[in-house]
Amino acid sequence: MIIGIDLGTTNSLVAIWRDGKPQIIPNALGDNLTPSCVGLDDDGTILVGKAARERLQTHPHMTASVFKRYMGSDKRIRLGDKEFRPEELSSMVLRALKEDAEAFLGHKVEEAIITVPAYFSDGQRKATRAAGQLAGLKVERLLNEPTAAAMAYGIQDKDQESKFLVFDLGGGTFDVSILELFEGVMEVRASAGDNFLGGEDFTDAIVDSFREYSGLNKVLGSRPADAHLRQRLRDEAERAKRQLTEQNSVWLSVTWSEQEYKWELTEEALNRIGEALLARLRTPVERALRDSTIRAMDLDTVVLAGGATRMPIVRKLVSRMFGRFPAMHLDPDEAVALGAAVQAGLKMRDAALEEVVMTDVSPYSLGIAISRQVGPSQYSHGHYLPIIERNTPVPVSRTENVATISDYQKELLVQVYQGESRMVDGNIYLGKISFPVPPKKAGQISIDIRFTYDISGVLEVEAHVLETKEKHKIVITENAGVMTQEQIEQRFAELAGLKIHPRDKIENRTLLARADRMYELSLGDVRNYLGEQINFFQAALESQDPRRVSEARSTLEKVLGHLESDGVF
Amino acid sequence: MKGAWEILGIEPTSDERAIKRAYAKQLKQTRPEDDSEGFQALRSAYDQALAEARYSDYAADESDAPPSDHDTDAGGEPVSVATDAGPDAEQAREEMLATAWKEANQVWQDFLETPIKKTAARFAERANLAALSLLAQDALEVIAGRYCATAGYDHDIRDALVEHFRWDEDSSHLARIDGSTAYFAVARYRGDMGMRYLRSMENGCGAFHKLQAKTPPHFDMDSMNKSFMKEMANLLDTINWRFPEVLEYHLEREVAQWWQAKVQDKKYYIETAFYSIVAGLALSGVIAGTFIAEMNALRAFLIIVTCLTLTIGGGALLALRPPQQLKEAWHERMLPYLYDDATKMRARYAWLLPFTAASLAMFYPSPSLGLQLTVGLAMFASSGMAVLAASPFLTKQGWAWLAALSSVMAYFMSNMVFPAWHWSIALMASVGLQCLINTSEIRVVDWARIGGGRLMTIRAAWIAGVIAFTVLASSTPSAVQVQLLFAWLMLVAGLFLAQFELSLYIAWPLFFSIKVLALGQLNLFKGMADQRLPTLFYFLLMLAIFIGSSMYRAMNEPETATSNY
Repeated sequence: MIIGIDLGTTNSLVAIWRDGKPQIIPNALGDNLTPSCVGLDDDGTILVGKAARERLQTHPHMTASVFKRYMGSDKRIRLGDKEFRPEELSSMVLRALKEDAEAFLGHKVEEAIITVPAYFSDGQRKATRAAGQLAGLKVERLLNEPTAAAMAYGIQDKDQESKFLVFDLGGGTFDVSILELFEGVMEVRASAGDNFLGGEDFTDAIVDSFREYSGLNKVLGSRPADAHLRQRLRDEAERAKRQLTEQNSVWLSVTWSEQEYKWELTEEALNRIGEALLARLRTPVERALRDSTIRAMDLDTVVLAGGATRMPIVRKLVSRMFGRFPAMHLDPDEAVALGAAVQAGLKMRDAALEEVVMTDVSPYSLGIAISRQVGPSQYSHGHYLPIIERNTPVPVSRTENVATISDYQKELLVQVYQGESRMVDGNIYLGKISFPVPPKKAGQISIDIRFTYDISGVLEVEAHVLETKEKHKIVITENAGVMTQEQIEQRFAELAGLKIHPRDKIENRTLLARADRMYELSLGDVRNYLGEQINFFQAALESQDPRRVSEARSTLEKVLGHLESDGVF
Repeated sequence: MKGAWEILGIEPTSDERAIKRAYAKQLKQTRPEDDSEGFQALRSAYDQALAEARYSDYAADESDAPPSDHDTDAGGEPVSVATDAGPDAEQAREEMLATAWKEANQVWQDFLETPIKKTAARFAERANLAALSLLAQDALEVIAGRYCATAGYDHDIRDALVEHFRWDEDSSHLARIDGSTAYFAVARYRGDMGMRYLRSMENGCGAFHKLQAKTPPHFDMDSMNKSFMKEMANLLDTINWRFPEVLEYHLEREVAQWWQAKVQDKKYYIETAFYSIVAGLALSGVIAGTFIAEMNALRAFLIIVTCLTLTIGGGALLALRPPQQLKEAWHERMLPYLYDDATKMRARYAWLLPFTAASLAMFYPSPSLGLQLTVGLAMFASSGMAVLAASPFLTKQGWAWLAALSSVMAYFMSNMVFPAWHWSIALMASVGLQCLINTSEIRVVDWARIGGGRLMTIRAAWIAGVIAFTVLASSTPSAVQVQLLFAWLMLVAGLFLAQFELSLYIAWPLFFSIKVLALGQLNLFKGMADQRLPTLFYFLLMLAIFIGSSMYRAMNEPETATSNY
């Protein structure tokens, strides 16, 4: 059984294809969504999911979130006294999801399809694979998130013909894909995106405004806010953002140093605050439309995916841009995971999906650095020659011909880049290959450069010197900021030694963490009361009597629920 | 190789849906994850079939209006897109389009009429692009494009629009909607930018001024001025390479063509005539001065002057305007043979053996006529081979010099003056040599490589040796034979180590110094019966000068590194 995993910036999900349809697998707490948070408990065990998320506020130095943004880089994140790479943290989330799936299905799971933003670079994709490997999963295929969302929608109308645009605004990334469905073929026509634009950025904008308008900044002055306060602000802003989906305005309130700071956030204000972010949403949409040569009015549907599309301001923007209302009948949080499950089903060659084929495209151009002639014997260096243009269906192989520019030069250096900028300075460097050429007058030696980009995103560069008929090949595997195979294997062994919080006890642990968080936030009588309730619960846990534990648990849950709904938190 | 239609398994058609159906059917058999090669072949067949279907049957669609300047005002309606959905969907589309155009027109009029500074930022502000739908944005781009494509636009507005829409970087989006608008808008923009750039250029503003004339001149004195023509050539190159639109919109094509023809026609510049005459006189003077002791001075002098002026003139003519057939024959037959590596290798070193043997033979005491002839011919043949191998490196002036010198040699051969034509042959051989061994790194065999710094040291040592020998030779005439042999060995070594390049700037000092020496020779070797010594002496001295100049050049030029591209 292959599972489909949506490894998101804020939340992750796991799903499978069963009984002719995709299904989300709930986690140990019974939720479909597992927060992408990893933390170190006080006793040194690893916590993943909601439990870690609750501890984000109470133990900010022992908990990590939003680490998807660092995938593909060398950033080290501290949890207490340990340091982790982003792919290691992601692998812990993946492992938790794997266990959830195994518990649900009743057998071992070895293989998974993991989704990545369509616009993820080569290094970021490799990091995602590494995360899968570290979690003990075989990752045959990485699936682009908007394509996954499209598949979730498209699979319902297999026999229809339609062109649609997927607008996927997740926690940390934004992807746009334009797809065409015909005769059971799901064809990606174009992909574009922004890897640093997501719901979290709107939250940050709200935090900034709150600090300004509630007077908190004045009090803080030039002192930086400590981690606890920062996290509290973020949580409050996040809550407000979500509540605005149903209400027209919401009050934010944060208590610090015995002082309460308040501010009202209206939808209009959010529109103003998020103006710059909303403007950034237009660019990938325009680029994707241009590349696909489909005009906005030829689209049949606009599909929303990603939790941040719940925001009314985003929905309004989409309606305005396209002149119609987007389709929202699938839960935007779940669409991508469901799509991953569909792909898993396809891979397993489930009979129900025999008639469906999917083709995807490379979202960025791949090329080399060259010099262009600007005069009879003048050359300008550092130009970019794309060899595989973006949004070409993959797998693909393209060749371009280049020639030497200096008389009797003996060597040729081919530098490989990824990106769209006209000059290589604006693009991402991937690797190089250099080889000798017979020394002749400039322009007499011509070389064919062939790029082969396969379906997993591995690039192979082959240079063919026509004179000598020699061929030189290189496969781009080395990236700065990505772990090598040896490193992965080493870390796999090391991470195996880490203790993960036992799955069957996670529910209690999560509840305790939630109660702790609310305890920290509260003052006076409420705090005393809460403290007592927590003590009762802990006593029950220590007794290890399952009936007593479950009773105490439901009591505490009720208490916390009341406190939250009373608007105290 | 299977054809596109064969791979898809259908007959050629312009029905896009049929092509898509065929592609989908095949795709189920050749899935991208299973059969990479098969998929790629299928996909390119699909793309090709779609392209053929589109262009072999022109749909009355957007971008096929014939390229002509627009006279429409900014309010033209777009052509509606052919769809094959139901009438309701069709109507909805028409409505969407109409709304979009109305919005866009409103924004445009508003922008034009409001009295604000027309910059890109103001346009974006005014247009309030965030509020427009994507369709309306496209419509606005077309309206703006049409404004810029028609003559009579305001330059500031146009610059602001180009900055905003960035058509100069990528106009493909606009081109898809309205191809000719995009083409003309961008072309006019580039033309204006080009003019601005060219006007601001310092060098060549005189040439540019001439180029802006309304009609081509009958004759222009400046076309005889070498430096002006060089400027004009650069200017025309710049325009052709970077600003062809300037030619289209701002200059008269006939004027440009007239100047282009003048530049390409290798004309006789004033400077050329001057140099040719001076060179002829100098060369004749040198040779006359050298051999004044042996023949009737005035007669010889006159013959030489006439001969040389004619040959230099003829040589220049030949070099500058070779008959077309000769040129073609040269390019097609000789050049590939000459550039062939094997030939070059053979010629590069093969001449050395006969040349060495012949030169050594010249020291044979009291040579008979037959020996003289043989030596002469052998020298001639080997220097001929040297010249052939050197020909890829010879510039046009080099060929002219060679032509001149060979006629000198022919003249002297008829006189059978042994030292004289031997000297000429030797001179010609050295000219060939100097172009031949043109490496900064000598590689005799792969493991015996000498390059860079060591080469310089060896050359410097060689020169020092030659100078020392010269000094010694003149002081001990009795030991001359041995020293000559020693010098000969050093000479051969020097030939391998020398780096020559023929150019006017080396030949000049050479000939002047030899003239000086020739005058000196009358005093130095007056008494000597054996003329072979001074001949060799000259040869060595010439070599020394060549090497010295090449060392000077090498020291002042950076070493050419192995290039990247």
